[in-house]
Formats: sequence, structure tokens, C-alpha cells
Amino acid sequence: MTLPTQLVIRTLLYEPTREMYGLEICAAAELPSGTIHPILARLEQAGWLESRWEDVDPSEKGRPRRRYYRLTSDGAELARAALVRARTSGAAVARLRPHLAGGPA
Amino acid sequence: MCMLPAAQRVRYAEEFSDELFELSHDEQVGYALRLLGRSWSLRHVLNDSLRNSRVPRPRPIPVLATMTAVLVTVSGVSSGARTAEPGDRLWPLTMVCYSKPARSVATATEAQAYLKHMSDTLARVRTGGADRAGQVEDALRAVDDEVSCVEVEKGAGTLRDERASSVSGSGWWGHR
Repeated sequence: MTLPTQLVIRTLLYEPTREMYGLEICAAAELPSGTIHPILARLEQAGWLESRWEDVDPSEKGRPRRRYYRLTSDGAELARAALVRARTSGAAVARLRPHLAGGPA
Repeated sequence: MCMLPAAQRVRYAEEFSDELFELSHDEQVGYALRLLGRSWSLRHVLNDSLRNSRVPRPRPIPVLATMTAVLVTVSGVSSGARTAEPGDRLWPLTMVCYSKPARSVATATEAQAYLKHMSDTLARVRTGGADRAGQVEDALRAVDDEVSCVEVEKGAGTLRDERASSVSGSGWWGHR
């Protein structure tokens, strides 16, 4: 599992029931915007993530709808197990993203 | 965007446009470049997803069961066709699959019927004149020709025995 994937998973596991959209995940994981969609697509394809469109009228909001992502219940368990098995040590994550190194919720 | 699978273009166009909208003008250029850099990777993931959903992997057990059922059926029909006789349901298949033995069986059947006919005729002309006896002898010669076309394993020996017994029993064998 690559380090960016681990960071995305840790971010989502931080509050597993919370829905987040792409830019929000990028900001929380401190990854450059526009880099996480292949990761999100792969996790969604594996059934770890589910996504939905924001339930708003774009003309009312004055902006396009957001795409929200959230871990599925099975996905959260599998993601935790995968992080434990991941080769990258927790120390590396702690060095790069201290706020995510405390362990998933 | 055109690099992505057609089914996913609308979704990602809206998602990317929202993210672009929320970024400042300076950030938008970097975001667009990074999206472009990751587009092949995203395309690869989405194509994998489409492939997995469209082409289910064949399940080995049903395929093997079907193949076994077909094999058993074909071998059973084939075996039945090999021993079929004229008038049986599988006889047309026998004519196609085992044409040479089938011809032999057909000839044997016809010769047998002909032999019976001649035997009956012989019995009727036992008291008749010599001219009719000559006709019967010609007919028996024709039966001999028929029997010679039949393979030994298809009953040629039996036919010859029947022919000899029917003729000798009638008293005409010694005339040939």
C-alpha cells in the first residue's frame, strides 16, 4: 500500500462516519489537490468507500455539487487491518503527518 | 476528461469542476496540471472497474458440469447410433456417423428380407414347372450377390447359412 493511500485511509478513519469531499480529504491528508481521485476510485471499486452527490441545488448554492465519500462499515474494518499490515511503519507516517499518526479512531 | 471511460466522464467533470470552483485562481492551474498527471492512473482504475463488472469470470464448477453432461450425452448417443438398426430413431445418425457399417447393415437387412421372400416363393413352386424354378435360381443368385456385400461381422455368415438351409430344405440346392 502506497504512502498516499495510507494517508487517505487514515484521514477517512479519523472520523469514519463523516462524509468528506475530495478537496477536504486532500487538505486533511496534506496531499496536493487533484492527486487522490485514483486512490478514491480504487477504494470505491474495492467496496471500502461509498460516495454520493451532495443533496443541494447548484443554482441555489451558486456552485457545483460536491461528491462526498465515506468508508463503508466493512471498508473501515478492512482499512484498519490493511494499515496494520502495511509495510510502511507508523514512524514514517508520524514523521510526515504527525496529526494522523495517533492511530485511526 | 476525454481520457476517462465515457460512462464516468459526466461524474468526474462535475466533481472536478466543483473542486476547481472552490480553489483560488492561483491554485486552479496547479490543480488542473495534477489532474492531468493523474488522469491515466484514474482511467486505468476505472477501466478495471468496468471490466470486472461487465465480464464475469466463468465459474469452473458449472462449466465442468456442463462439459461433462455434454460429453456423456454425445458419447451415449454415439454409442447408441453405432448399434442402431434400420427403423430405429438413431438410424439417420448412424447413416451419417457410421456410413460404411450402416450400408452393410442396411444391405444385410434387405438381403434377409429378400431371402425370406425367395424361401417362401421356393416353397410355393415346389410343385411347379422347371421354368419357374429357373427364375427362383436367378433370384437366389442375386441374393448371393447381396450377401457378398455384407461384412462378416455384420452377419454375412448367418445370411449364408439361412440361404443354404432354405434352399437345401426345399430340394433346389443340388441343382446349382
